[in-house]
Amino acid sequence: MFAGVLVTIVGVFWAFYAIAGLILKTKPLKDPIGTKQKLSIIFPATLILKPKKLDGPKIGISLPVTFVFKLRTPDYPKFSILIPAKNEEKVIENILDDLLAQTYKNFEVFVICHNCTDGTFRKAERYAKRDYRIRLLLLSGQEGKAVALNYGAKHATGDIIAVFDADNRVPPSSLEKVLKYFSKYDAVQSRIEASNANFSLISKLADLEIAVFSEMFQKTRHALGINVGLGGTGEFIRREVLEKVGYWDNNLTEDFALFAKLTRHNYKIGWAHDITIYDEKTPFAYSMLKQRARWLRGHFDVMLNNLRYFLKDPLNVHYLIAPLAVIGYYVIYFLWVLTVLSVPFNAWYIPLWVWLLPSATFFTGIAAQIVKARKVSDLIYVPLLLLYLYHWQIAFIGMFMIKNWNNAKTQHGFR
Amino acid sequence: MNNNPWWWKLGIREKKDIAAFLVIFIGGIVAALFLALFGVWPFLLPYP
Repeated sequence: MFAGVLVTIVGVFWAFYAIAGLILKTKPLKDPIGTKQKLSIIFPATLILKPKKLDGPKIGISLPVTFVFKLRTPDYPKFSILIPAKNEEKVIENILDDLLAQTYKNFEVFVICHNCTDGTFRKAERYAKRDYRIRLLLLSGQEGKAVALNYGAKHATGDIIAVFDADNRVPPSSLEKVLKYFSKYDAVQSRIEASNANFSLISKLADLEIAVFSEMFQKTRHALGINVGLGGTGEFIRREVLEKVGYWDNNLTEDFALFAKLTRHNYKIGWAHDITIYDEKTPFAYSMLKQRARWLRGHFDVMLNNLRYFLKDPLNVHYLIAPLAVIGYYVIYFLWVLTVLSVPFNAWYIPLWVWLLPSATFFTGIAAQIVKARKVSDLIYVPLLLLYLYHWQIAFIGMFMIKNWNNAKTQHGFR
Repeated sequence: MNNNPWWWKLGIREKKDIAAFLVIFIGGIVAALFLALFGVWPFLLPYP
């Protein structure tokens, strides 16, 4: 009986998101920059900034350009882009190329070489010599992405802090497009796709998983006016807001911790469906499981730290989907066994369609969202995706077994 | 990428990836069967 009720509740919950993600539309916001104004930002900057030589003088370029920006773009915020990098020599150049190709030029980039032992610093240094907006920070000691981000944020001078992982690919119009959201939101999360979906079966399924997550949950939350989750990359936050909430906590999922802090302080987090950041998914089975165990552990830590707040309003259950879904599965297994054992002694009955309808809606929803977000031929992966999602339950066990998270950083360069 | 061995395509590079791969997919099948069997067979009983 309990199992039946629980399954029905979980099923209806999933089905709601599955349908809402398909039906609800996010309101397009108006781009605040007109063509004429765009030219005033882009044109002089590209003329002056375009590097001729690799080793040009830094100060000679930076002063006049800063002056031009101050004169001509008083209302256009400056981005401070933070890239925490630990041994990312295989990928760091790609993202720096992408950032230098942005159509919106008012930004600074901080590459934070955190406990690097490879050539990341040397490679990034070549870019720093080419363009004054790229700066290098060396950091050693305590591990953790939040440590690197906080160190970078201390040096930031921009109005909006952007966070990208070193393995990301950033389309040229990303910064320009995100501006409009800041008229309404204090933080913005962009869409994420895998840059290496075709590398392996694992990276393919991870890409479909995030497609379904984005379409079903992020978009629906945004359309309903609920804060969307921050993803740790492709996230943008007003610097003053970040200062007020006390920057990042050194949690295993510093993004979820920041999300919880922003939400508690009633700041609004929006979803930029029109901006796609390409993220390298870990393509191998073991490292994927370890990464998910780290995510789950981080989610549970944040959930427990904020439990009083999350329990205050029943709507907040939306923010705890990952931990609750995993616990929910184990509770279902347990109750199912109990129920089955009690069947011969105890009459209970829930019509089969009540069990099956939400599940069927959910599976159909997954398939529809995959078609919408990716392509029809990806439907062949749906049965495998349903098996693959089971890894969260393994990761749940893993999160108790892994004692040392210092070496949990995901390796990049597989594309 | 084309020079990578075929098992990389499955997401397997080291021995522990084989174990993780089997746990995920075989475990997924077992869990699905478990839910299906335990979830459905009570309906086959003559209740209510």
